[in-house]
Order: sequence, then C-alpha cells, then structure tokens
Amino acid sequence: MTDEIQKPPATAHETPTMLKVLLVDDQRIIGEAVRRMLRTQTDIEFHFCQNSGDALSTAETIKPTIILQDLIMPDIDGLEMVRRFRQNSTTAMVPLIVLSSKEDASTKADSFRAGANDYLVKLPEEIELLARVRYHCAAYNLRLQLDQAMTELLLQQKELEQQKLAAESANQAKSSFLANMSHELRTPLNAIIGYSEMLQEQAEDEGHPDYLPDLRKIHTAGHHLLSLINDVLDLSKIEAGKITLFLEDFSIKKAVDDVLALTQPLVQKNRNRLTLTGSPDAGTMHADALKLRQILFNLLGNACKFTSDGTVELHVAAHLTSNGNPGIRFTVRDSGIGMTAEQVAKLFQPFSQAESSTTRKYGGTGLGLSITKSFVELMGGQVHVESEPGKGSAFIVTLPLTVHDPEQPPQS
Amino acid sequence: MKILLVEDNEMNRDMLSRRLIRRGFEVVMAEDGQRAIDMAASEAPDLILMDISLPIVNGWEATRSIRSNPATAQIPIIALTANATDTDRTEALAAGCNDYDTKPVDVVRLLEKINALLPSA
Repeated sequence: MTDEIQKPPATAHETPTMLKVLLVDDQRIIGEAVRRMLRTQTDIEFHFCQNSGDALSTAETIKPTIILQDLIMPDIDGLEMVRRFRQNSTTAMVPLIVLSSKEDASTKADSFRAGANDYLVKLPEEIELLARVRYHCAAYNLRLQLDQAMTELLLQQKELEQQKLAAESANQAKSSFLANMSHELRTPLNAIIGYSEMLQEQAEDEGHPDYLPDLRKIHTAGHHLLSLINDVLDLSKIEAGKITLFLEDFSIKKAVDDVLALTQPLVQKNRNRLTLTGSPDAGTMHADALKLRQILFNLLGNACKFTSDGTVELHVAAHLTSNGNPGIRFTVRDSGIGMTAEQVAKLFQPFSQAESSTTRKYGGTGLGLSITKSFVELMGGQVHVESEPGKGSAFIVTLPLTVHDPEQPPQS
Repeated sequence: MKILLVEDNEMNRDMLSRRLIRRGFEVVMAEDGQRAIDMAASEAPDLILMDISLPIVNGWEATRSIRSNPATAQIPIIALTANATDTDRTEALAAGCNDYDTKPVDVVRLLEKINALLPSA
C-alpha cells in the first residue's frame, strides 16, 4: 500500500477526514483522467461537474476541500468561474487550482489575479497533481482547524469574562449585604447596651448592688458582639474599597495612652504585665488617628488574649521608611503561645485564625489582623510578624510620620 | 438646660432621654428631620442631639436648615450616627454640626461633648 505513505500522518486527536476534490471541466475525458489518477487514494472523494451552473450548487452541497477549474468552458469564461467561487461564501477560502492547456505568463497571471491559488498545465503527471492537491488540502484543513480553535477560544474568553462579571457582582452584593446587615444588627444592639448601662446606673443609685455583676455581663457581651459586628462591617468596606482616610495631626503619646487605657481590662484578665518602652514621646504624626488606635488596639488585644501570666510590651521608636522618609515603628511583643511558620503564613487572611480550635478557645472573628493589615497598608505602612511556638510573638508596624491620602496625589 | 433629642428609633429615644433626664437635663424629642427643624425654632433648646438617618428630612439636611435660620443658627448640634465612618465625620462637620459621636452612645463621653458645647451656666 504505497499510497498510505503519501497521506499526512493523522494526529491522535483528529479524525481522518475525506478530501473532497471538485473538478470543473467541460471535457468528460479530462474528468475520467483525473478520476483515474485519484482512484487509488482512499481518502480522496472525487466530484466532477461539466458546466458552470452545476459547479456552484455542487460546491455548496459537498463543500469541497479543493477545486480544480478548467479555463476554457463553452458556457462561461473559466476566469469568471474562478471569481464566482471566490465570491461564494462556501468556496471563498477553498484552495483552487486552475487546470489549463495554456502555458503563457499572462494567462497564469490572470488566473492568479482572479483568485487562483495554483496553476497546472493539462494534463499534469499523477504525482504532481497529487502533490499539489495534498499540499493545498493540508494547508486548508489546518486553516479550518485554526479558525475553529480561534472561535472556541474567543467563545471561552467571552464566557470567562461573563463569569468574572458575575463573580464581581456577587462579591459586590455580598459586601453590601454585610454592610446593611451589620447596620441593622447594630440598632437593637444599641438598645441592649444602652439599657443595660442605664440599669447599672439605677442599680447603683437605688441600692441593688447584687444586680450589678449580671448587668455588667449583659453589657460586656453586648460590647463584644458590637466589636464583632464592627469587624465584619470594616472588612466589608475594605473589600468594597470604601474605606477612606481621615488625616489629621495628632500626638503619638496621646494616641498610645488612649489605647493603653482601653487595653488595661484585657491585660488584667489573663494576669499579664503591660509595659511601654522605647520613645513614646515621639512628637506628632499626620495620619488617621482612629485607624492607628484600632491597629494598636487589635495588636495589643491579640497579645493579651494569647498570653497568660506573661508580659505584653508596646515599643515605640523612630524609623526610616524604605524611601528614606521619617517614620515610626510600633512593636507589640508578647510572651504568649506563639505560632508556627504555617500559622504565620495565613495569619492575615480574613476569617482565618491559626486553628478553628483557637477560635473556640480564644474567641474572635479572625478578622482583626486582616483589618489591621489593610489599615496599615492604606496608610502606606507595613506589618511584619516574628513568632515562635511557645515563646511568643512580635507584630511590627511601620508607618510614615506623614501619611498621604492614596486617593489624592501627595503635594510636593 | 434643654436638649432637643432627634432620633427615629423609639428605644434609642427612650433610653437616651431617660439617661439625660437622670442627669438633670430637660429633654424634648423629635422623631424626624422636619419636626427637628420646627422644634429647634419653637422650643429654642440649648443643644441638639441629631441622629443622621432620619425619615422625611435626614439629619444632614435638618442641620443645614437649622443653620440657615438666623433664629436657630447658633444652637450647638452634635451628630449621632451608627456609622462610624470618616465620611460621616467629614459630612457632619460640613453640614454644620459642632461635634460628632457614634452609637451606641457612651454617656460619659457624650456628656463631655455636651458640656464642652453648652454655655457655662
């Protein structure tokens, strides 16, 4: 089977397709000659038309892989036939070889101008005809495959874009749901906190001290729930890109003192010792004071939560930012349970505490550090962690002394 | 000292008014922004506590309206909102509020702000 060798090797994923050769020639004898040449080729299907009217309709029906077109026909100029094939949507790109008894340069040139891809003088040798037919068919089939692959690719790309849009809108919906939900939850919570506070005042004034511990528990639990809701609200705003900075000049010492006062109850809870070291009288900074307090409170709160009968240290020091501007460094160091490298790695991801058992034992939403990191970065700073299991952790926050609003370009 | 408390939530209104009364303030109340504008003129309070998310006329608009009336323009206003956002803080000051606090109200902190704004009696 020598003709098997001539076939292009079929790749694994492509099904061998029949090559459809359409010969348009008014002479039956030519038709028979070509048919004979192709007869041994098992993958070639031969079609023959003797007049122009049949040729186009046959082409539209069989969708040829290649067209062989005679130039001299009784009912039509062969070149006109070539042009019609080119204008027809089915055959516009199908390879077309002109078969002609003429051999002069101008006929060849006319043929190519009309849209032919190749030119053979009648009657070619079998080997030449086959070689040309196979060459053009292979090129055409590759082109079809490429077109199909491109179409599929564009379709997939379109689908992916739609999926991306859908995902973005779902994420937007989630953020706004969280924001609305948090807001709705706060209203009744305000009442719980307010009335329990009021009852405490009344219990004190009207001599019912035995009610006080329970009322304090309601009040504390209410505040705890409020801080969790606030975390969720903050995170939903961060995710929706709706956090803005409120920049002002403030005393670093005052901010630190405020946070330490707030932290005091947490320090006492696990019998820890809190120290302030370094140079807390570091002057003033231009930043979002509320967010700085929240950052420090989160870090100190965590340190107190994960340390018992130990020490929690807040160290304040001057610092140079990576681009040489004056900055400040806050280090919160504890002697608590510490973390492994794996735990540190996912520390700043929202909703991830070191382990779910940690959540059960220590509480919290697992949002604090994620929020802390976002706030620090929004102010142009960085946060690093150093930790060792059983030995404690250190969270190092560096911030520029003058924070610029990321939404407004810094003034020179 | 008379305080006009503008708050649409009934429980918040009840709770905050009782706590202010316990501390010796006279409290009059409005449930929406329009009532707030009217009562600022008719009651002539010494200070207004203004919730922001109010029906009919919201707190920002009510504040602007009170500021634009020469009879009420000088009354100190403290904005109260559940949203502790910076936008709110900026907007409160832009609308003409003298100060700003977030809910749930910390009474000690709120009293400090009230006393800082009241004419020393």
